[in-house]
Amino acid sequence: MKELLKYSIVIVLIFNLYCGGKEPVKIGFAGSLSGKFSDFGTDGRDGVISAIEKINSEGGINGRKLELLTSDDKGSAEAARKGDIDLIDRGAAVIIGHMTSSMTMAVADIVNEKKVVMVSPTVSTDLLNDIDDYIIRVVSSTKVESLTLAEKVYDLYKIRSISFIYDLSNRDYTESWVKNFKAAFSKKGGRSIETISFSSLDTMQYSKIAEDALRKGPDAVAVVANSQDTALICQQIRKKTRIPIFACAWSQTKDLIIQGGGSVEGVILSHQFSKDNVSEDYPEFKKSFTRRFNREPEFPAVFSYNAMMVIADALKRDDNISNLKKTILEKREYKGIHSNFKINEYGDAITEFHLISIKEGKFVGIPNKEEAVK
Amino acid sequence: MESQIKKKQLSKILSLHFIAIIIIPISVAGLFLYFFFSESIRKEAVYRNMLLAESIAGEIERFMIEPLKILQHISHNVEKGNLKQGAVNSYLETVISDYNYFESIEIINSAGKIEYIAPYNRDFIGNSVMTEEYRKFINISGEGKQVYISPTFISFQTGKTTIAISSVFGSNVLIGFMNLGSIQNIVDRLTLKKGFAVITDRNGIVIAHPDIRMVNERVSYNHLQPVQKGLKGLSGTYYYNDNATDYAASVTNVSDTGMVVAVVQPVQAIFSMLKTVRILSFMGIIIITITSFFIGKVIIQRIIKPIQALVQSTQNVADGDYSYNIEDSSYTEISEISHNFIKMIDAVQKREFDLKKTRNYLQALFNAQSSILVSVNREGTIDQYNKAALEFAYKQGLLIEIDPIWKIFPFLAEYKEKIIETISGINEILSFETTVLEYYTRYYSVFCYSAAFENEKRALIRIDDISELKSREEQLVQIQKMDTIGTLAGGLAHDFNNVLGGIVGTVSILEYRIKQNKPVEPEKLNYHVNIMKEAGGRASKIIQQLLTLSRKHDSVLEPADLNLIIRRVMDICETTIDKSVALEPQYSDTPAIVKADRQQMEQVILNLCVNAAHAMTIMRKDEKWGGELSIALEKISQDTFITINGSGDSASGYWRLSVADTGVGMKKEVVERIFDPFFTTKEIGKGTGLGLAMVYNIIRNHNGFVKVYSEEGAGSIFHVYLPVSGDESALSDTAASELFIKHGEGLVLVIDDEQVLRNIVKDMLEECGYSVVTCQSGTEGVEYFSIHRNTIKAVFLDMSMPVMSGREVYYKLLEIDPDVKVLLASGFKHDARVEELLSAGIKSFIQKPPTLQKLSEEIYKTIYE
Repeated sequence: MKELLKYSIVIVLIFNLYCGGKEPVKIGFAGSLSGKFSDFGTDGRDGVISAIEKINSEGGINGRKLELLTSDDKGSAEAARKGDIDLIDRGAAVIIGHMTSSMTMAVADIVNEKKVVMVSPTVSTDLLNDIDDYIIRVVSSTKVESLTLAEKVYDLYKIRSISFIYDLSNRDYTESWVKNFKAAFSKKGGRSIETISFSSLDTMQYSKIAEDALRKGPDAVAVVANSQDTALICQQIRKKTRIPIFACAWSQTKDLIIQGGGSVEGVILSHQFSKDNVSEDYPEFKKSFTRRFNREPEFPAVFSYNAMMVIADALKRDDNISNLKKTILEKREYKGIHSNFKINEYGDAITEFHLISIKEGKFVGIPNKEEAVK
Repeated sequence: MESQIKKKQLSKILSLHFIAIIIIPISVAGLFLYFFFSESIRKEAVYRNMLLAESIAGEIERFMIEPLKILQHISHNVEKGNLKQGAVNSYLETVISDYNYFESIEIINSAGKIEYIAPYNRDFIGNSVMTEEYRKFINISGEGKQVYISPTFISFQTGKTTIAISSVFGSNVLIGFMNLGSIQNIVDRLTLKKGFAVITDRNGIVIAHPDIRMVNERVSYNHLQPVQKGLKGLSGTYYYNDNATDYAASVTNVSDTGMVVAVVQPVQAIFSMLKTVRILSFMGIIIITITSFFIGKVIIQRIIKPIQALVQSTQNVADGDYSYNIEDSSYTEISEISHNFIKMIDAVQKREFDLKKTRNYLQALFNAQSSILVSVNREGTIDQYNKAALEFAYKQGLLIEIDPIWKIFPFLAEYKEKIIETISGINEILSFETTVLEYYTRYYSVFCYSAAFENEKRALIRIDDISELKSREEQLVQIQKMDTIGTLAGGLAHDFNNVLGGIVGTVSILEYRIKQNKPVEPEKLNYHVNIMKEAGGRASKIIQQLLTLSRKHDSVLEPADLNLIIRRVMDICETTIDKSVALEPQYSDTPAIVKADRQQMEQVILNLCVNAAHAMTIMRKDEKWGGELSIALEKISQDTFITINGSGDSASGYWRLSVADTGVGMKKEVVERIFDPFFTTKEIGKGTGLGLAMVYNIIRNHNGFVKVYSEEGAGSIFHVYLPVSGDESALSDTAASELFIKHGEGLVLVIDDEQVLRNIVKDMLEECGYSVVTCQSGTEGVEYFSIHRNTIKAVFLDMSMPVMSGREVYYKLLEIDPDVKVLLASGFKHDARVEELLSAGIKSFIQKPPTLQKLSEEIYKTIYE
């Protein structure tokens, strides 16, 4: 009996040593998880879940399992700040999020003050460019996106005048997008005719917005908003004209196609993620994600997965949380599930952009200039 | 055996049995009931949980029926054109406001554009929506179905979980967007202590959950096994673990919608009844156990009490208090035991008295023995002893019960191993004689008898001081020797006379020749001198034999060849025994080596030969003298006969020396007494009756034995058995040993008053290589020593000298040089004075007259060892 007891204790101790002995690493996720515009957040969260479950199934990081804590910023700065403080208090070693630039800017001072690394999967605002802070991004800045698009709009699509419609609810992204586009476009010789802003948080009349933008007869319209707003604006524009419509990366989700229906056919945008340009790991990721969530991943899931993998990569090299920022920045080149990317000394990612168009209800990569011109 | 049985207390055994009798059936019954009930409780709980899930699913189905009907109704009305032109919008508005199921309703026309929308929104009219993606989104596939239900999604208008129900009519599609908020109500209404209900859509996304956050954040439960089962269309109760808690989830799905309803409860909660039953069962068993324990204790106490009283009484008796007072008991059995016990006590008391009596008697007998008697255990501690033993120890100031036997009787130490063997029971009997050199030499006879019993190893040892007996024996031997000499004297005198006759005759012839002045020719003279020389030589030999025989000496057992001894005896017999007796000695082919005292052995054989001769001569009164005296020597191996008669330790067998005669023989009665001292059949003055007694003693001392066979008128035969000694190398044959003398050098001072001996010793020592100075008295010797003590290596000192004895001389020499090396010479070794000097420091001793060999050895030992 005594022998049995002795062995039991030893087994329990060994078990603890291997399994329960090490505290799990708490990973925080912050994003808009509920409400009208939660598709971005929930998709990102599911991407992180997918990564965490993969890591844990492989034994965790240096024997430590990962545990996910989530926080819903509800698209409000106040909720975002409260949520992040709460995450940090609950022991989050690192925060993945937020999913929009405005939310990220709202919490920047908190993470910098608390020295908690925030890895943002989708935030591309230029306001964070070249700043040595605790915010690290796995996507390129808006500047690159809008510059690339502006040049293509002018050169490839021969657009000489353009109107802008942008959403103020994520102005940190949209404004710099518009600003950079305008700058590049006018540099080429193009003209920005009209700039209409709205806030998705308010009730609005999409027909009025479309009318305003089209009033001066631009060659094209650029819509810088989320997928649903972009879709509905496109619906209104298409009721009036067939001029080209350009959209931003933010809007590239399934909702754009569902809500946009026939109106979004031919819409062109510039994006870092193109289903036609993915790494060899992507099919496996897509398969397991679909099995887990009964749906296909959108780009927020892909980038959130990448963000988690960047953190895991760093922790595997040095699991001291206080060194995390340094450890992440030490390694410049990362392997992404869509494509490889670089992170510079300021924690800003540099990735490749692809031109994407909607054809027959699908996002399709535009392979080369010739194709685009046609 | 008894000690090996583990003792148990009756009261404890009874208690245990009592408890066992009660507990085992109750426990078995309790466990049986527990398992029986637990199984049905388990089934019941699972059934209830499942029932709950099914009722929720039913409620959702019911909840869906109405909107579906409405939608069908609308599509029917619109399709059939039952509505007035332009009234469709208001009709839809009415449906929304009246039924409160739909958030919005749209009708999409064949161009895929929104034709009607309620609530009305101008912006949406004409929106191109119906793409392939949209069809997938609202789950419209093919034809044949009246209504289609979409998976859930977040309404971009309300931000709430929404479902789209579509009805296809013609090329139009009627879509109703339904808020699933009311499904949440079903879940919220459910009040489970610890469990909850969860509803997921067809993709496993939570659409109703007590934690609304889960719904709002569209958490996926697709990874939980029960949900997976539900999504596959299965229903049942499944178990899973989440956050280290085991849950039981009863799942079922809602037809058409693909929704999954799961009622989840922690296993612990769902089976809480099981826990209660378990606790009740075990509590019941424990309570019954405790109760039965106390009841049992009372009953057992009543049984045990009289037994304990009996035990107490018997304890008193066991402690030796026979004034017993055994209480009678009300139980017949115990009363019977008591009475039997009283009888037993009486019997024991009587037996104990008898034992005591016997023991006292035996103790007295023990003490009355003059021998020392002790009982000794393996450690050598004496645990029983008689008075003689106590006195022996007391005289030495030792404690008989504490000091080991080897200390009390130091002479036993030499035999320690053998005694321990006897104690251990390896040997049954051990007997030996031992000599102790004290001021006087003491002899002890020790007899050790193994008394090992069971595990107790011990031996009884009897020790007798036989010093006196020994000295008497020695005297007896001497007397007998003289007796033998007397017997032989007649023959010797005759022989001697013949010798003298030869000398005297020759001398008278020569005297006559000289007186007559007759010349004696050198040849003649030589002839006469030779006769005289031969006669002288013979006389000397006779005298030597006589002296050898009469000499008193220490018994020394050393390897000796019986052939040589017989030969010597034959020499004596030839001159002394009547010529009518024919001597027929037969020698063995090989040396017959035994450990023997040569002189004693000669005496034995001589005695037997003399007796044999007498039987053929003087014992024959009227008949003619004469006969055959044969002596034979034969080696015989150990056999049963030998084992019985001998000491039993001669593995290499015995030499049997047989002396047979053809004389008068003996009657049986005579044979029986033949070895008794002073028993003789010879005429008075012709025998002392000591001869055969001495033979018997000597042979016994040689570890041998004597057997006699006699037939009246035919003759007698005496067999002497002596153990074979394998030690031939140590054989100290005179002829052989004389070849080796030990040489040395240096000055030796010889102090002896007898001139002849002094000169012989001088010659012998010089032969050995020493220089010798002689002194004829002690005074002269001491004086010479005081001057030349540095050059003198050793002193040869005679013990008995006039004026200054050897003893005095030694002490003087010691004064001059404490390291003086002295070889003491005396005719008697066992002389008190000799023994004193030997213990005072004299290194060596030599018996007079010394032989060259012996002297060379002893002086060498004195100087060099």
